[in-house]
Amino acid sequence: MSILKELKRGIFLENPTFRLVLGMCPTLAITTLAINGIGMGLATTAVLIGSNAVVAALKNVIPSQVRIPSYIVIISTFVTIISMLMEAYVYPLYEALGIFLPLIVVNCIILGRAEAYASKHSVGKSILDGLAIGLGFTLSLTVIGSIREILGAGSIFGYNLVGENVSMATIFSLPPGAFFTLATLMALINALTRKKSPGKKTAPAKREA
Amino acid sequence: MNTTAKMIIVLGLISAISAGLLAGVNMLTKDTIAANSEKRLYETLAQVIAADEFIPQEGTELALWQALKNDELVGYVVRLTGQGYSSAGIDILVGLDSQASVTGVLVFSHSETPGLGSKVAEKGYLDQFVGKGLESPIAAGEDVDAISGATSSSMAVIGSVRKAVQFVGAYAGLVEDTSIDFAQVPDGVYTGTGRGFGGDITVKVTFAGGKLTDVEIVSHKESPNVSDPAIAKIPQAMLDQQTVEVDSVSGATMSSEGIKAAVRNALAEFGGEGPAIPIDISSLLPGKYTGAARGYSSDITVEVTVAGGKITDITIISQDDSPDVGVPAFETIIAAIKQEQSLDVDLVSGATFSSQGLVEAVKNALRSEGVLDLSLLPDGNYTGEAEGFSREPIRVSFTMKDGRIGSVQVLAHGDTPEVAGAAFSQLSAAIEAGQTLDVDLVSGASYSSQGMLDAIINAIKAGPNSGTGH
Repeated sequence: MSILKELKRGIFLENPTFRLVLGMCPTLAITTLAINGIGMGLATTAVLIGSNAVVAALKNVIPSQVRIPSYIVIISTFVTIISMLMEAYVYPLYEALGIFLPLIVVNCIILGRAEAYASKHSVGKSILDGLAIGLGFTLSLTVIGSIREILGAGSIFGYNLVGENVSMATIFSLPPGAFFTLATLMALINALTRKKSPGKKTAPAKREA
Repeated sequence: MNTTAKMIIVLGLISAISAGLLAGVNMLTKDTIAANSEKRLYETLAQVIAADEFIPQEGTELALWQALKNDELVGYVVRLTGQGYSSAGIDILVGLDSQASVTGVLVFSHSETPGLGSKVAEKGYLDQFVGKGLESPIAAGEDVDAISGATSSSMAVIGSVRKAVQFVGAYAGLVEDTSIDFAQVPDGVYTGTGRGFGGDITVKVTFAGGKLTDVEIVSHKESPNVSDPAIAKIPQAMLDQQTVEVDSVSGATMSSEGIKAAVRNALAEFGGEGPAIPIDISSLLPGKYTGAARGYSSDITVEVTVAGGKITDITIISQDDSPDVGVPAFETIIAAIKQEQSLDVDLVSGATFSSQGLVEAVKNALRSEGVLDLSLLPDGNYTGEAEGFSREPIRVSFTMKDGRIGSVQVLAHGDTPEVAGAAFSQLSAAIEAGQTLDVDLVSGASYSSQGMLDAIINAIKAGPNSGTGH
């Protein structure tokens, strides 16, 4: 399995946000700005790579009865480390992500990958899976964040697009805007993939995976 | 190895390694995190006062920083929480210069209603406090505004700024020590007012046997419920500790401080906030004055009649002292006051409490507003002037004959003729008919009306004109 194929799987075919529909809490809550989406996505990716690697390395040592507490200890260690590093070196982002940073611990993407992938595959493959899924999550959050920032605040990555004194649709910066954006994107992606599916023999099989 | 032991060991090891890792990262980052958080705090503090270094002060009642610029003390920053509309409180930073004048106010966290209470956190509102200091009342409607529709939130901010100013004033030694030596306070009843959260608080303070025996809150405008603990606890604490400087009740600080200020004000002549106003009998308006003070067994209430700048009569309305000792002493004291036209009379030995109480009651009476009695004015022509609506003074003249006031003539005024003219004749008629100055002001011409009444009072103060030439 090539690296490119793995990345394609993580970012498109098994996109955690739009295909697996996992980790909805941070997805909806922090995507008010594009930069928040990138920050949250990269923090999650870092935790995902770390926890996948350690879980894969310890898969034969951890007794199956205590695997869930062990995974949680491992994941929370990575989350706490990331959170301390972010507080020290990228404070504005740390503040923007707020409570959702420590809550990466209970993000079901991470526990899900540990349980479904890392505990059955080699360290190398697990790291690649963590990277692929993490990038998929980051991309999704950034897309949602960009759309909400443009429509809600009239800017992208902090750069003003519309000039001063222009009122934007503030609702996109508020919680309802997250649902609108997510639902529209998901519908769009489903419509596109459904059209393509009949032509490609491999696609339906992948979707079952 | 059995599975249970393996489970414990593996999970234990994972946890131990995790703990070690976390300790390591913490060591690595904690200094940076602490430095960042201090830097952010100082950036926030620098928004309320122009300074480059802040030194936190320890052991103060409120969180306080000394603000330094180029290593020189330029002022202070106080952090305090005001009780607004929401229960969470409004977190406020107040910057003050070394003279306790406000340099800036910042609301850095609040949970007030967005769109209403949240307006108090806006710079445009907070800027009104800049420059207010120890001499400013810092009260809504006086020198600062409350936001209509957000009164609770505004009051919390206004009260907090006032408190910060007073706190720094006391901390920086700008306000004199106002502690009162209770041993120096003669027995009696004293009243005073102080500013609480909602307005003036009036107290009645009773001393007997050289001790504070009662603190009664006569009136107040504090918020119900919130101020209740202060009203219940502060007077009792003063009685228990025999001092005005008791700890404020948390959650009702402004009310507590208001009660303390009122008691200090009541005892002002004994080392509080400057000497009491001396009583100048000759300048008193003719009329009846009522007052009370503590005698030997209970309050003595007197009615003092003043006419022609002299005390002409003192009537004891109520008292409870002994008929054998107290009452003869009263007669002696009353005779002495009328004789000497002074309140500095010798007390009757053997009846010190009764005679002291009576003198204090008379003093309290003469310090009170009094009821003007026109019939006590000597016959003659009177003229006087006072400012009305315009800068031009209102000049009045009237005649007293057989204890009755005649019609009041307005000789000159600069007020709007069509408005003031009617008001003057209406007032004059009312005064003549009622033989009193206690008449309603004419609505629509209240300044002119008040000016006319002031002019009459000035005329009474001046006394009848010599000769009857007018």
